[in-house]
Amino acid sequence: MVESMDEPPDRSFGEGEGMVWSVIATLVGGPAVWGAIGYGVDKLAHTAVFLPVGVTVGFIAALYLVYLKYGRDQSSQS
Amino acid sequence: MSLAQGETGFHAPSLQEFTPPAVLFEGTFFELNRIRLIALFVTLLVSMFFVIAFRRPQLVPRGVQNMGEVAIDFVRFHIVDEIIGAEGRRFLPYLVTLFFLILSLNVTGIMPPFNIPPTSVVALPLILAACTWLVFNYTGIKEQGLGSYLKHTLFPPGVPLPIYLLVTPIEFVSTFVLRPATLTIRLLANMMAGHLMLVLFFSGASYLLLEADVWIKAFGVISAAMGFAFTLFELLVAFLQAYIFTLLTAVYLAGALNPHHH
Repeated sequence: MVESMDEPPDRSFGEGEGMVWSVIATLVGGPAVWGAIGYGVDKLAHTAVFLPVGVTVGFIAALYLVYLKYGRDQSSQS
Repeated sequence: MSLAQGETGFHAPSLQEFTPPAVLFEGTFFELNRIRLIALFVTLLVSMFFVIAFRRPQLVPRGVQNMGEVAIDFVRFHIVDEIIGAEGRRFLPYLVTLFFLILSLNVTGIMPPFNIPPTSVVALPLILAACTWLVFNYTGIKEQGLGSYLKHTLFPPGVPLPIYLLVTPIEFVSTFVLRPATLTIRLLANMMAGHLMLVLFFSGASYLLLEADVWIKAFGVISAAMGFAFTLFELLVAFLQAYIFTLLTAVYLAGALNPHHH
């Protein structure tokens, strides 16, 4: 624990900034894309359920994507 | 503060601020209003500065060349070298242009003869974001080939195969739509909001000090003081927004050059 306090940050300031905006874009884009797809399905099938389903699925997928890209950078990516 | 809105005579700033009447060539495609004239003038000024600075470069710089070198070194050390590394040097002309153009256009928002930042009208941030979009996509395709670039961008590694169906559309929108959109909106919203706040504080101050009843005049002083403080804040915002725009462009370029960097 003591040695990790003096480690330099893994990322420079710029990459950190890019990461923040990328996370925001993903979290907004996920529900937006799948909500739009759900809305399209709703229009075609004359239902009303696919829009909220799409938004929810999109949000979950976006959270997974954020975890994938930024939550486990110690291990996989090289 | 119903006083400010209820009294006749005070006009709070509205979006009309950003569509002033035409000054030249009215009715034609080349119609120029105050804001576009400022944009043209500032662009000319910044270009002339760099042309004059490096017209006859000496090995030991003096005068304007010195200032030009300081300007380029700022972008080179703090943005290019930090984010992209040595291979980013070839993007230096674009990034220097981007930074100083946005900075100068932002800063006119607090300079007396101009008083409005041309970047608060959507066309400029949109075009700058479109240029960045073209540059980072072209670089990615040129460096990695179209198929490889799309594969690295749209299909993050380590995902079980059927989940790609969920994740790839999000990645597509996030990279090709939201990157330029957030670049545009961030710059536009910061400049537009800052300008509206400044106009509100100063027009409020002049109205309260000159036309309001005597026991409300004190609020005019407060409004003017807030306007002064906010002007200093807008100076910071002008610099910061230029820096962030250029920084993110560099980050996207670094991602296009080295997809597996981190």
